[in-house]
Amino acid sequence: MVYSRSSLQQPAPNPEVQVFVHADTFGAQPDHGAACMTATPAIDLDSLSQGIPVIAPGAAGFYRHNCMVCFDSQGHSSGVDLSLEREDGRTSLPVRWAGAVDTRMKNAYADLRKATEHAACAVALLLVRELTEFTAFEQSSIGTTVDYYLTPQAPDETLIFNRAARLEASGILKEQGSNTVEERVKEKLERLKPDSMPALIAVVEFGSPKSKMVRS
Amino acid sequence: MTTVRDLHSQAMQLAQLAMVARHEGDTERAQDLARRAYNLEAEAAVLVPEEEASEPTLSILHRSAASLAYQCGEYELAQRQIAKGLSGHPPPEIKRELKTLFRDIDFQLLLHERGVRLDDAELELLLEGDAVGPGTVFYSEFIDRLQATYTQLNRTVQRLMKKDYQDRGRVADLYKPFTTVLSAPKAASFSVSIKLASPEDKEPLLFPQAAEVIHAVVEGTELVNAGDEAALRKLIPEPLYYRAFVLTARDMAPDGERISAVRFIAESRTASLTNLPSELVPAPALEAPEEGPRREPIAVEGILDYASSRKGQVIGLTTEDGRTYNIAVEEGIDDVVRSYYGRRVAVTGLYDLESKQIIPEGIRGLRE
Repeated sequence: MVYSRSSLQQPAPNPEVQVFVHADTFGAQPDHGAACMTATPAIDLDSLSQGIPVIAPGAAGFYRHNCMVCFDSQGHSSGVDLSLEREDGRTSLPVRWAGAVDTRMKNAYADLRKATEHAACAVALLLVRELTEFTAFEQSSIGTTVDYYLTPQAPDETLIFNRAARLEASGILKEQGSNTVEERVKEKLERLKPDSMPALIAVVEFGSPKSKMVRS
Repeated sequence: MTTVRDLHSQAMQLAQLAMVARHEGDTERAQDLARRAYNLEAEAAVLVPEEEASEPTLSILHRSAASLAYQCGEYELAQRQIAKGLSGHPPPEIKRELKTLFRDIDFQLLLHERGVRLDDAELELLLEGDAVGPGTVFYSEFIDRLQATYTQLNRTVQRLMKKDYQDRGRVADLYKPFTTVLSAPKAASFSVSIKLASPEDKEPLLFPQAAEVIHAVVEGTELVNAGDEAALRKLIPEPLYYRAFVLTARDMAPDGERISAVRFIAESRTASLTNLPSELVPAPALEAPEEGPRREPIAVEGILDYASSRKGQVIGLTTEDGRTYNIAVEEGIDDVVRSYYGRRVAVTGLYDLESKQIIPEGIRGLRE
């Protein structure tokens, strides 16, 4: 079963995939009392345009294609299992998409460094949607890219970033040498200063594929 | 009533479409979308009360508006938004980001004052190997390859502008249309991005596009690594440019230990030098004169310095035990020789018994 956005209106952590974000950090109370779902969640790239309001309908295809090209470049096809490590353990989720990666798409996203950045953001947003109690996403422009924020409940109509946690998404096409998920997470944690906003760090690697999510 | 959320959401939708347009190469549309997004984001920021309790929302909105103004080239508007963001009570993290953006904009204004603009095309030089840590690299491993990359770009510009190969003297300004700009090194192995800034006041048709130059260097490097001599000769039909390109690419190649890969990453394609020098396109052999002085193979190590002879294009080499040699700097190898002046090198080639000069076929830098 693929979770829809609506299923998250009444959050129900899957016993296989525990929500790890602590209420005292982000001011939310995960609803552990809700009914358990038995199905394993999936990462459905085709649902990018539906459940994540910060992704504009006109940009959903762009993010989806970046993801497809990254997975395809590493020899993966729809249904590949993404291994996910979190503070309370490991799990794996199938990543699904419709359609094939053709030469035209490969040429359009030939800069795999940029594609990896965009794809990692999209996968991280899908993981957050599927596996955490965050119910609202915000974004802002920074330089020429986009910065994402997460809130545990619908925020104020004016003070939209107050009480938000920052999503620090980062991608690696294929681990090599010291360029690993572990090292990247370590670097991100070291870079965050004590006065930084609370952050959720998500690093996605497309070679294995795997991901690690930790909170600061 | 329109809320901050409404305005901000609309702005962000447009900002994402601007990002997609930029990816598709539609710069005009990207700028138009960013400008519309800026107007909405600036309006949203005005609706937030200017008080400490509004943070971090207020400063994040100002930073976002400044970024959008920056994207559409409205640098003064961007600086005003940054000033507003800094004048409130921004959290330290957002304050740092506002200051970083201010410095970026200052740099863009400096380029503008110098009459150049940065094209979107960029070439990333990435090094991997034991001499490379996350965001760090041994100086000489990096500097030599950066210099070689700079040489490849300049020679490619001259070749694309149909200039005859010039091995000595100052190249005319006409054939140097770009200003080379480096970005800060990035972690993840070690990499820097190189951009070619083009003159604002010159007709673009008079010189090649930055993307064309970068593409030619990346494609040529890929062919050198694949050992595809035939395709490389087709790409660079001019013999002297061909020889210079091959020798410089071979000079950049990894040694397999300290540096295991040298990669070029550009918008449209990537190339990796991962093979050892013996597997690359071979250094073009020198044409042996039908009749002439006797030449013998030679391999010698020493420091490149002044030549004892002042005749023609000659450079000196002094070995550790004090022997001196004269090395003829022929067309095509001049770039490599120049880059190693004052350094310890290994030279292979032919020793001309009549002129008592080494005719080099390859020069390799040695670890100090």
